[in-house]
Amino acid sequence: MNTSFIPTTSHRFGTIRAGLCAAALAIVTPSIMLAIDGWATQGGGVTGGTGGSTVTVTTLAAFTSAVTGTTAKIINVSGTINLGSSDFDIGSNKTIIGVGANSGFIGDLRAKGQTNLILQNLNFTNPNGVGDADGLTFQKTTRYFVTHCTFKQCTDGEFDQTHACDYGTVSWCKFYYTSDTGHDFVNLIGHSDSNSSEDTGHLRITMHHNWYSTLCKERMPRVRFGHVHVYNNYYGAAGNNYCVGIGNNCQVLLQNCYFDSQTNPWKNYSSSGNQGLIHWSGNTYVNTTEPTWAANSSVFTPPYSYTLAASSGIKSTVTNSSTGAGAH
Amino acid sequence: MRLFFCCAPQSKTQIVNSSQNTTRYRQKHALITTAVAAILCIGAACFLILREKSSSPDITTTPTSSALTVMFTAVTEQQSVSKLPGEIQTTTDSIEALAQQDPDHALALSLAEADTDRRELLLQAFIRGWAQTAPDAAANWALIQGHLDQGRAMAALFNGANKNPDAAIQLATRLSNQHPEEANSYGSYLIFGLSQVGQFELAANYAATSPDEIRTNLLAGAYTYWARQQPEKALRSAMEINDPAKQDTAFHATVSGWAHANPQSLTNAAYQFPEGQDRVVALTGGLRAWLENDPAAAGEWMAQHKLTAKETERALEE
Repeated sequence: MNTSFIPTTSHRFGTIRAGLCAAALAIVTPSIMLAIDGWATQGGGVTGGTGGSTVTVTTLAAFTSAVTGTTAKIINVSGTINLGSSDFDIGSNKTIIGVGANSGFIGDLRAKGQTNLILQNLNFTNPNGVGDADGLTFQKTTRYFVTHCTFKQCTDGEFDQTHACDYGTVSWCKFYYTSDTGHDFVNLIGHSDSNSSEDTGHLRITMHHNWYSTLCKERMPRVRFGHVHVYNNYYGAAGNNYCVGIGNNCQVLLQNCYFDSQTNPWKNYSSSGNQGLIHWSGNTYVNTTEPTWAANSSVFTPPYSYTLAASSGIKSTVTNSSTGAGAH
Repeated sequence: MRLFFCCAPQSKTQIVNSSQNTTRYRQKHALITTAVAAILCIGAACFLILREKSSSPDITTTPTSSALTVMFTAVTEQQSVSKLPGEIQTTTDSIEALAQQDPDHALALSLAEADTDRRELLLQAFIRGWAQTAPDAAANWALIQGHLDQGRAMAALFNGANKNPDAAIQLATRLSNQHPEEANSYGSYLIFGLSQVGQFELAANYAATSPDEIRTNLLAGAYTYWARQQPEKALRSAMEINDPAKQDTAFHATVSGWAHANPQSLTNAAYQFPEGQDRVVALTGGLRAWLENDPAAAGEWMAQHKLTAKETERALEE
């Protein structure tokens, strides 16, 4: 591939060379351009609304109009939009970007049976538990890239990916709660042990440079059936129960994460005869005991290239208030 | 030998007079001192040998042993009759003890360890030990050192300073005032450290009076750790908090910690709670954890006790 014509753009997240290739697709907006990586580069990759029109919305009506259907579109969300009292469904081929640090949604934004989505720089909260009570719910959805978003106080999961979701990357997101819901369970990947026929062979998801903060108790993530790559995450919620749940017939590759005063960096949730596997390496443990219950097993090899940062620097990298995880 | 001490704490003369304290240390801890003395010699020799080797292109620069490894083995063998923990634990205990008396030597020995993982463990032990006798000096060194991850260094600091809880709290307060962006980290390490030595009430008080933006996280940690060890006391303390938001956080954390440690106990206790949301939270928290650990026993308990539909639903929900 001749790369001489590819423009290079600098922004606050670094310098990224734009262009399309299997390893790293890129998107361009007037203000932000982020490289797509991880599992989202596979299965055809993610382009979101690239090539479509760009609109800026400030109301639910305008957002509804922009996000419905499968036409490619780039939607800039300015301000906070209340999504109403039930799940709010979005269509395929969309890039949804929050303008500034405080834009986003109240309620449950859902993608059900959709494909090719980019969600970036958005705030999600669902304090009243409407819809599925998550902040973001993906079901039967493939090829997606969720990055630099902040999830706060959702009464079920904050971002659950179930029903054979596939080829997703969740990166540079911050998850936290402002009060204890008794169900502070953050990221569910695969919702039921009895759903193997639908989920097996899917749920290929990468989660990197995410910040699990105040009151995140469990499911960071909790995995069934999927091949999930977890790397360079920062786990910092005091008083957690466990971080990564190893459920039925999953494979988790856990690399170079920073566990800060955490209980059970990974915990077994597999039923008899369906033991999930984990391979771990390079983690930093502070006031945290490395689990001994599991063998350090062979798991899948990611089919994409990626750069592992040393875990010792992950806390400062991910929690940086201007360049770290979350919407800015 | 000078090379060993070039990285010694700048404030060493303020902390301890090396020769005097080494003498006292020998008198009190002859066994450990013998090993430490041995390592001073062996360590210097090995360090110089390794330096010599590393300058030769024909010889590998990766040491397969180290001065400390030799000493660790010696200590382990000598003290094996007293059934001390494993080799590494014994060694870190030795460094921690030495650091209380002679931080310069403890640091030098730690830095002389060739194995990276071992060196980090020794440096953490060094900080823990020094923090027990000179927490401020240890903190100042931990903040500027470049050998350890900052989190590991500060956690070690509070896991040593916690032996004097009041001093540890003062230290956390001072550091948080100086570096407010790190107040959550310092508070978390303080609360973990205080909980390790059973000072749960002090930890809870520190959390309850911490700044708004970090209070929820610290309260969650303090009451979770407390409830894992003393659930009834933690619950009593939580319910005595007047501020509704703080009480809510403390109560939920108590339920979470209690459920983690003994879900059956929590379930039985919660069943006696008066009707209301607190009972639902506690009962379902206990049952959820119990169902995870022992579904047969938890299921049998549920069959034998009358629960509301809401309680049953929440206990069983994904």
